[in-house]
Order: sequence, then C-alpha cells, then structure tokens
Amino acid sequence: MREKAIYVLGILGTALLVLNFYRIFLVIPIDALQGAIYRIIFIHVPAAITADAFYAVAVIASIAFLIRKNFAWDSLAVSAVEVGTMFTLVNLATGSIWGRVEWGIWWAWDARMTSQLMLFLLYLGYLLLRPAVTEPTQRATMSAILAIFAFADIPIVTMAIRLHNVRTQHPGPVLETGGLAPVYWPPFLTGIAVFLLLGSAMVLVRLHQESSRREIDSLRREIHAI
Amino acid sequence: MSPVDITNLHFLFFGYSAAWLIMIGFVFLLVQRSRRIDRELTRLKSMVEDKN
Repeated sequence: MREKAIYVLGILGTALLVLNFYRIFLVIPIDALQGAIYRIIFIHVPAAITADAFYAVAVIASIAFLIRKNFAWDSLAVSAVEVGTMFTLVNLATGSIWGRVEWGIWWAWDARMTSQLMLFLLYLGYLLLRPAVTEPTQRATMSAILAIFAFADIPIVTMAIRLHNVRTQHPGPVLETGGLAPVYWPPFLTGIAVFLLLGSAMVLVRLHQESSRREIDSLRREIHAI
Repeated sequence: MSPVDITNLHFLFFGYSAAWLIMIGFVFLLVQRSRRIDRELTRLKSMVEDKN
C-alpha cells in the first residue's frame, strides 16, 4: 500500500512537473524588467512554501509525540524535517543565484535571508543532533522540543519583508498584494503542487526507513538477549 | 539577444540545475540508505533465525 502511494505520488508529481516546465518556458511571457531570470520564482518560492508545510507537519508530529509518547510520531517528524530541510536548501540556492543577477551579489545579510538561513541551520542541527543521542525516548523528546523551537523562526522569516522598520534587500510581498500577474499564478501553484507531491513521496520513503530502523533496534535487542 | 539576456539565461540554467541536482542528490541518498537498512535487516533476521 505504502509502495503504491509512493509510486502514485512520484508519477503524478513528475507529470505535473513536465506540464509546468512547458508552461514556464514556452507559454508565459518574459518579465519586462527582470528578463528570463524571473522564472526562478517558480522554484524558489514553491520550495520555501513546501519546506514550511513539512516543518508544520513536523511540529504537529512532535507535539503529538510529546503527548502520546508514540514513536510513529517521532518517525513522521524526522522524515518531514529531512525533506523540509532539503527544500529549504533549494530555496536558499535558487535565491542566491537570482540575487547574483538582480543585485550583483550572491548573498545579502538582510533580515529575510539571514532568518531563512537560520531556519535551515536550526533544522540541520536537529538532524545532526539525533544520531548523537542513543537512548530512543531521550532522542525523540529532545528532537521534538528542538523541532518546535526551530519552527518559531518561520514567523520571523515571514514578517522580515512585511515590517517597515526591518532592513531588507529581498523583494516585498507579492502574493497577497496582487503583485503577481494572473498569468503567473497557474505555474506558481502547480510548482507548489509538484513539490508537495514529490516531497510527500520522499516522506513516505523515509517513514519506511524509520520503521525498518525500529525493527533493526528490536532485533539487536533480541540477539543480545539470546 | 543582448549579452545581458544571455547572462540571464545562463543563471536561469544554473538555478534550475542547482535545484534539481539537490533534489536528485537527496533521492540518491534515500535510495542508498534504504539499501543499507534492508541489508542490515536481512542480516539481523538471519542471525535471529540461526540463534533460534
């Protein structure tokens, strides 16, 4: 069942991706001010939204673990964080390349970019911390607390381009202010759907790995007991 | 096409390449890890059977 779901999500995501590439490169017009490079927005922003969605899943799973002490929630949290961190890296890399063309620099230590980098580092720390703690309950509890703590950075990232007294090089909000032309919405929303579908397939693969790991741990205990 | 347009296209190519390389790299790591876990699981299962 899980394997079928992975294939369905993967195939659906890839089909939508091909359709979206067609739209991005052959249908929608070139931006008058930015030229071709603006097309990076169809990867850059969906990657950030997808990452935040997976971090939200991780926080819900972490809270559920702290309440129920069920390791299935911990598995979901670590799987979602790993995929979310990968999408955050995609967001940072594509943003940096866009900045090199538009601003002439690879990186600016402004509020939005610094807080997004912090988000990446916090969740990277989460993933690096886990193998360092060997006792499973302690590992899951510490990870859950860190996942919740790291999530507090997301409102900072969101508000970094909305507060007037914060210095930022990053473009202002365009999605809710009508700054994105209607013709750009379909590839933009499809981009989010593609990443969510492919990301969900990856989370399912990671969940399977986590359940196999738990089985390995119990087999090791059994071997030691014999 | 002006030199600015060509530079623009080059960086667009770099952007898309970077994004897909990161994702493909991640999938590659997932597959490698799955194989390693499956091998370990099979090994431990056969050890338990042998001991029983």
